Formats: sequence, structure tokens, C-alpha cells
Amino acid sequence: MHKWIAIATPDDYAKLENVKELATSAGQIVNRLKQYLSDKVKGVLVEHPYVDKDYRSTYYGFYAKKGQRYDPFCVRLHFFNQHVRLTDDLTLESASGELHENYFGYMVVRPTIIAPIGRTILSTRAVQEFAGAIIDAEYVVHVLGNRLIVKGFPFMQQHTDISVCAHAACWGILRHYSVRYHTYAERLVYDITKMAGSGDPGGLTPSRGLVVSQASQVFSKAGLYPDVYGRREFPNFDRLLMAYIESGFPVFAAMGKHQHAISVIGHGPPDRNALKESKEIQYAWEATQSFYVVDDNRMPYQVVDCLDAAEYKISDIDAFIVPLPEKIFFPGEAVESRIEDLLRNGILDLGFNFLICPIVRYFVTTSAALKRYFKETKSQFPPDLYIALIELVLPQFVWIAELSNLDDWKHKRFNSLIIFDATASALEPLPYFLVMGKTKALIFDRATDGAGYIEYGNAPLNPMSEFRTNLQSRL
Amino acid sequence: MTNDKTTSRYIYTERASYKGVDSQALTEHIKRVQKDVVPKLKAQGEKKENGALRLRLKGVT
Repeated sequence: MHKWIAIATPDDYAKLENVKELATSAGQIVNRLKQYLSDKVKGVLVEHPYVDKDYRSTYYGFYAKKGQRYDPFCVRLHFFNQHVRLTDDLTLESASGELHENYFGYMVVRPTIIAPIGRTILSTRAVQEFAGAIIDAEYVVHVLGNRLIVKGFPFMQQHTDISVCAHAACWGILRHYSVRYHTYAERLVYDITKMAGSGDPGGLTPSRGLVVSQASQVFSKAGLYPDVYGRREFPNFDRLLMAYIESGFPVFAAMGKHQHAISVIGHGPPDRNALKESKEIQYAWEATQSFYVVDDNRMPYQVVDCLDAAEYKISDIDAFIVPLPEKIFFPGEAVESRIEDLLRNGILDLGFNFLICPIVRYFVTTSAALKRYFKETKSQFPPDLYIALIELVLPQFVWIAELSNLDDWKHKRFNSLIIFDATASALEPLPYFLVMGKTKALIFDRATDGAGYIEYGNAPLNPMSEFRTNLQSRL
Repeated sequence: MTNDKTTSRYIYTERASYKGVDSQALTEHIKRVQKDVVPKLKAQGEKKENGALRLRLKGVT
């Protein structure tokens, strides 16, 4: 069965209450959609029966074993803008542009009694007041013979029995990795519950929750390399969190006071006036005061900031796990230590006195993306330096640090670049590929054990444009 | 200044555009980093997972 519901005003979501397959879930779904979706959504396609692989994994492993009868089928809701309609012969017609351009994603509704919202992938374009950048991937959706694509980050409510918030957060991060990078296998909800288990005292239900070490174990079993940070141990905790998110790595965040876990997947726009004139080192991340999170108790892409009025705030995050791909051995805190040492003491005869009010922005990127950046912005580098950079043999991942004067940072430019080898050991004395000074750059050609200076000569080094490719949108 | 493998323990490159670096100065830099930076990083690494791993999370909806 496929049914079209036109949405002229938010009150039209109430028509979903007439879809009998939504059963007792309809009221909750209607309220959430009314409050959450933007007025760009003008049509909902209801698809039933829908076989959802994540729900089925829990059905086969858990719900089918219960005395209570559970339906094996789900409902899937698809969201479109005003250009799309469903014809009587079940064709999705687009009056303007390609169908996928007018598609905002989908929400699976499970036939479970509590917490029915299952796998959901929504475009940020469909979300009220969204203003930020998130880590995303492209999800392929098949409906009525159409192959649609939606970019987003996975969301679902916890089941409360077979999974809790920490499972849902692990699931979202692992699903993102499996879709974004083909090297990671797809893990269904039931798989994740089993991966986190340590004997499952009392059975799989009711779930007693996970501890952070179990969530870390889930990521390890999925082939990732989790690193754990505690707020109490790291004074630069928020900056490290921000650096990993800006690097494109979704982060599992734990809040002890709330006994809750969420995924941090993006951030709001930086306030370019937030940093002040100072000779002390400042970090660009301190100008961003809001994160975008996926919280299974709410809806995707919720803002978390420093405000006391919110249900929780950034400072409530006590610990985070960043599940890293293989070949990132050099941690964020080592990057900060090295930058601060370089800015204070220089290296050889390269100093950084030309940075009067130094601002630091650092993150991981791939060498492919970095080389692409060099190629696309070739004219901003002195010719000899460009040749050296484009030829430099790099590992898959590198840390880069953009060093700026305050005025240039305000205009999204930087004045010096440091490239760190992400495969270097944390304690290595020279983890660099590049240290750029005012008149020359020091290059460590680590693949050949070579090093040397490139002098800029008569080619002046002008401020360079900020590197932006890791997150979905530019801020 | 040197760019000659026979006279430098650390620095050698065949790329013509590279100017040689002072290997003695680089050695001094390494010694200073090992004294000033590395111990702090070691200490941070040792305390990294204290406490955080024991937080219990269930966040019932």
C-alpha cells in the first residue's frame, strides 16, 4: 500500500493518524513531525508493508521469541517538497527538477509499542532552523521503482529493551562508516547489542545500559580504533571534541549525570568575532559554541550549546569516544602540544613572530583531499613550494594545522600551514611533513628520510584560503 | 649548512629545489622536544582513560 498525504500546514500531519498500520504510534509520530520538520516538506508518502533490515534483525533475534505478538513489517514515511505528487497509477512525478532533488529522506516506523521510530535518514534541508555543518553520507533509497539519494546521518530511537541509547549511538556511527567507507561492514541493531555484550547478565532484556568501555568494544569489533577522552583529564576536552568532528569523525559522547549517550556529528557556525586581540595562542574551535547531535530521545540534528535552558549542555558531556580509522596513531592532544611548542620556540631558524594574534585551526584530512586542495588553490603557493607539496609522499591521513593572524582568520584565511604525519607516534620528536614560515618552508620528506628548506624567493606568501572539505557544508 | 649525506646524520635529499638544513640545530631541537614536550604527552597518555570508561549509559526514553 502506498498513500500520499499532502502537507499544506503542520496540522496536516494529523492525517497520519488515519493510517491504521501506524497503530498507537501515530500520535507520537505526528507530534514529532509537526514540531521538527520545516515547511519545505509538502508531501509524505506512506509505504506499507516495509521490510526494515534493522527491525528484522531484532525481530528474528528477540521479538519473535516473546509471548506478545509483534508484526514483522514496518511502515516507511518518505518526505518530499512541493514539486512532487503521487499519481493514481502510483508514479512519483516531479514537476521541477529530478525527483531526488525534491526528496528529503525517510523515517521507518517500527511495530513496537514503545519508541517506534526506527531507521531514519533525513536531509538537513527538511529540518527547522538548521544552520550548521554535519558529517554525512549518501544513502540510496528505492521506492516505487525510483532510485533516490538522500544525504544525512542515521537516527533511530532506542528500543528500550533490546537496545538503549548507547546502542543507538553506536549503530548510527557504524552505519555511517559502512555507507561512507566500503571497507566497513554493515552492522544491524541486533548485531550491535550482541557485540556490546559481556555475558548479558539477566538476559538481553531488560537492558541495563552500557558502560563506555563496552561501547568502545563495539567500535573495536567493527574494525575501528576507538580513543577515549575524559573531561576531567583533558582541560582542552571541548577543543579535542571539535577537532575530531571537524575531521569528519562522528563522536560517541557520554553524559554521566544523565546516564545518556549521544552522537556528536556536526557544529554550528563559528562566531568570527568571538576571539579577541591577544598574543596568547587561541584556537578557532573556541569560537564555535554549538554542536549538532543525534540523540535517540529526540530527533536528528539537535543543537547542543552552552545555555542552561537546554535539556543538557556541552559541559554535561563527561567523556567521548572517537572511533578512528586505522592509520591514525597521532592523537589530537599531541597536535596541540606540538603547535604550542612550535609557536613559542620555532624550529631551527623558523619562527612565528609574524603571527601577532595567533589563531590555530587543526583537524585530520586525507592526503587525497589535501592534494586536491593544493591543486585547486595552486596560485596561492610559491611555485617551488607547490611542486614540493604536490609531490610529497603522504600516508592516507594527515593532521593539518592552519595558523592565522586574527584578522585573516576572521576572513577565513590563514598565514602558515603545518602538516603532521597522522601515522607518527605520539612521542616522536619530528612528526612533521611541512612547517611553513614567513619566507621559507621546512619540508620533511619522510618517505625518503630527506629534509630541506624551500625558499619563497620573490614569490610573496599571501594569506591562504581555509581548507573546507570534511563536513557537509561550508560555514 | 649541509645537504650532503656524508656529513649529515639526519638530512639528505636529492631534490634540487631543497636547501640544506643545519643538522646540528635539528639535533638540538629534538633534544629540547624530548625534554620539554614528550614527558607531558606521556603523562597525558597514561591518564587518558581514567574514570571515563566506567560511566554507565542507558538514557531510557
